[in-house]
Amino acid sequence: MDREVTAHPDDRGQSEVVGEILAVAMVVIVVTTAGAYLLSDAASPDEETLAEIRLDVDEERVELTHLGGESIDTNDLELAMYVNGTRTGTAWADGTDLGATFDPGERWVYNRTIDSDATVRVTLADTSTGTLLVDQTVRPGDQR
Amino acid sequence: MSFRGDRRGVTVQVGAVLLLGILVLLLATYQTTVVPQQNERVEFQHSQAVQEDVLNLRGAMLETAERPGFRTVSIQMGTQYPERALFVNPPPPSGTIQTSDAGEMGVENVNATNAETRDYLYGTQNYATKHVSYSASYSVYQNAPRTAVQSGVVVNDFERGRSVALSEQPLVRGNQITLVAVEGNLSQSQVQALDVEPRSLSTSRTSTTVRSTGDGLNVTVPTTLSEDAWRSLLDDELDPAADPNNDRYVTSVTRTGDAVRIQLEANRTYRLRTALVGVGRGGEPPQPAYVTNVTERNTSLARGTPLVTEVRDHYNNPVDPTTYPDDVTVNVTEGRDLIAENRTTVDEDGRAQVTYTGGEGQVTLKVERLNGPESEVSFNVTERSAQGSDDGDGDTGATSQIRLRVDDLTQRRGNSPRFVVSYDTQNVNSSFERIEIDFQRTDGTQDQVRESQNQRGSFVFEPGNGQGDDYSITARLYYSDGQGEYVRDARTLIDTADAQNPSRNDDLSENDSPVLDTGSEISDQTNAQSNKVSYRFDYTVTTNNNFQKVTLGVLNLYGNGASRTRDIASADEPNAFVPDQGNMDGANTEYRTVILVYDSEGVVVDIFEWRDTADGQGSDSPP
Repeated sequence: MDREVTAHPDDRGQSEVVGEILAVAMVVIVVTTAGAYLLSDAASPDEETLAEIRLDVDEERVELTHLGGESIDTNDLELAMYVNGTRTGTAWADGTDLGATFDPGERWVYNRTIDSDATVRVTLADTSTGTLLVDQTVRPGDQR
Repeated sequence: MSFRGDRRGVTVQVGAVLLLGILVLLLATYQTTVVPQQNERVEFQHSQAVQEDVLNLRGAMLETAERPGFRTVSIQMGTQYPERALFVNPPPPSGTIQTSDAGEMGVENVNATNAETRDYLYGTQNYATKHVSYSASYSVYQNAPRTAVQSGVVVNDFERGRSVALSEQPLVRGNQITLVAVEGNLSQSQVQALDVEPRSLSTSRTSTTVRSTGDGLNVTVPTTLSEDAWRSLLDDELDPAADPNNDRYVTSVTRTGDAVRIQLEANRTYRLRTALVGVGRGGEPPQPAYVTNVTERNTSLARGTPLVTEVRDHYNNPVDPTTYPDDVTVNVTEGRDLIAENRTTVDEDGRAQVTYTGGEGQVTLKVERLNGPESEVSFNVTERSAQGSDDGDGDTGATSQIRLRVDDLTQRRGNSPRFVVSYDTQNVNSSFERIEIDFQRTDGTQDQVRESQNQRGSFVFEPGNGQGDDYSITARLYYSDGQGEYVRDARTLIDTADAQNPSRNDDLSENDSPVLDTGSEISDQTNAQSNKVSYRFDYTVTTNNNFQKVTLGVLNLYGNGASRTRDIASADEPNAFVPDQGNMDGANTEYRTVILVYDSEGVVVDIFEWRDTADGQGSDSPP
C-alpha cells in the first residue's frame, strides 16, 4: 500500500516541473517584450509643450504672440534676450502682465528701444517640460 | 494522502496571473496616457499645416482679385493618427471650411477725380463680403484655433475672443486702398483634402483715382481682430499727425462693433482698387453700374477718331459683357449728327466706342439698361484740322493751359536719379483748384504724387534708384465746379534718367525772369594725370529782382565717372568750382555741364549747358 502510494506520484514523471518552468518562461517573455516595447515607445513624446510662438522685433518693442497650442504657466517661462550677443537681463515679468498662463491668442509686449541694425536673439523656454519654444535671431530693421 | 506536498500551493499560477495583471495594467496606462499624447502631437502638427493652407488660400484670393481666372488651393481638411496594432485610436479628425456673412466693407468720404466717374463714385461705397473660415474637430487638442480669411487678412480666433493675425494686411499701402470682397457659398466637412477654387468675379486691373473730402477718408472692414492688433498691422502706414509730406496716410484706427475703421488723411489723392472674388458655389459677375469717359470730355478731334467710353460695375472695374445673357448697349442720345452710329455695344474689355464724323457740339452716350446721371457720359467736341498737332496731352498750342519742364540732374554712377520738375499755368480762371504732379517710373515700380495750390512752381523728385529707367511726369491742372473737381488740362513728359533733359521741355521764362549773361563761362580745369575732374563756372545773372538760386552741374553721361551738383544763392560768382571740395574721378570721360537759373518761385527759367570730355581743355559761353 505504502509502496503504491509513494510510487504513484512518481507516475506523473516531470510534467509538473516542466509545466511550471514553461508557464514562468512564457509569462516572463511576454511581459518583457511588451514592457520593452511600451517603455521605449512611451519615453519619446512625453513631456513636451506643444505651442507655436511668433517673435516680432522692431525698433521700439519685442513682441511674442501665442499662435496656438497649449497654455503655458507663466511661472515656468524662462525668457532670455541678447542684444549684439550681450544678455540684457530682461525677464518675462518685465513685459505685459498676462496673468497665470500664456494662452493662445495672447500677446506679450516688452517696450525697449533697439538700434535698427542691432542683432537681437530671443529664447523662450518652458522649464516644466524643458521645451525650447523660441530661439530666433533677428534685426529690428528687417520687417517680419 | 498527505497535503504536505501541496504546501507550495498555487504560487506558479498566482505569479503568472499577477504578471499578466501587470501587463494589462501597462497596456491600459499606455492607451490612456501615451496614445492621447501622441495623437495630440499629430493634431497640433496638422493644425499648423492647415493654417499654411489657409494662408495659401488668402494668397490665391488676392491673386484672383488682380488677375482674371481661378486658382486651386488644396486644404488638408483632416488628418490620420498613426497605425496602432494593440491600441485603439479615436476616429480621424475632420475639418470644416465655410463661408459666413461678415457684413460690409467700404470706403467713406471719397470723390472720384474724374467727373463722369464721380456721378457714381462719391460719398460712401459699400461692398458686402464674407469670411472664409476653417475649423477642425480634434479629439485631444483642445485650444485649436479657427483660422479665417477676413478682408484679406488671415486670423486665428481662439476662445474668449482672442485673435491674432497670421498675415499682413493688403488694405492700405501708401496711398493705395485695396478692398477684396468675397461672394459664394461654401460649407464642407470632411477628412480628405479639399480643393477650394477662388475665382475672379470682378477683377481690379487698374486703380481708380479718388480724393478724400475734408472729413478724411474712412476704410471700414469687418474683422475679429482687436484695435491693437490692427494698429500693429498698420504700423508702417500710421501717421497720426497727418503730415502731408510723407508716404503714410493712416491717421487713426478704431474698432466699431464687428468692424475696424481706418481713417486716412483728408484732402489727399488715393488710388482705390476694389474687386470681387467668388469662393464655393454661387456668385455672379456684377451687373453694369455706371459709365465713364476714356476720351477726354472737352476735346478737339480729327474726323473719324473714336469717342471711347467704359462701362463699369459696382467695383469700378470694366464689365465683361460675355458673362451676361444680353449685350450691353450704349445709345447716342444727343449729338447724333456728329456721330456715325446711333448705338453700339460694349466689347469684352468693357469699352464702347462711336465714331466722330465732324462738327461741333455736345455728344451724350447712355447705357440702355441704366438710369440716372451715372448712366450717361457727355463730350464737348470741336473739330480739329487733320494737319493739327496730334500728340495727345502733349499739346503745347495756345489753348494749352499747363506747361512743364523737367531738368535731369541724375548722378548715373551713384544710381541716384534727380529731376527738377517746373510747371506754369496760363489763362486760368477763378475755378482753379490745384496742380498735381504725378511722377511714375514707367515700369510701375515708382509712383509719387505731389500737389500744390500755386499756379507756378517746382518740385524735386529723387526716387532713390533706377538710373537709366524711363519716368513719366504728368502735370494736371484741376478746376472745381459745383459738383467737385475735374482735370482741366494735363501735360506729360517722358524722360530717361540719363543726366540729359527730355527734348520737349517747355520754356517757362517770363518778361521779368532772371537771365544768365552771355559773358558767363564754363571751363574745363580737369587734371587728367591725377584723374581729378574739375570745372570752373564764371557766371552773372541779371536778376530782375526775381531770383532764387543757380544750380551748377557736372554730370557724367555714361556712368563711368563721378557726378556732382552745387546750389549757389548768389547771382554773381566769377570763380565757382565744381567740385568745391573733395575730388571727382572720371578724367577723359564725357560730361554734361550745366547752369540752371531759378526765379523766385523756384521755376527753372534759364539754362546753359555744355558737353565736354573732361580732359582739362576747352571752355564755352552762352550764345
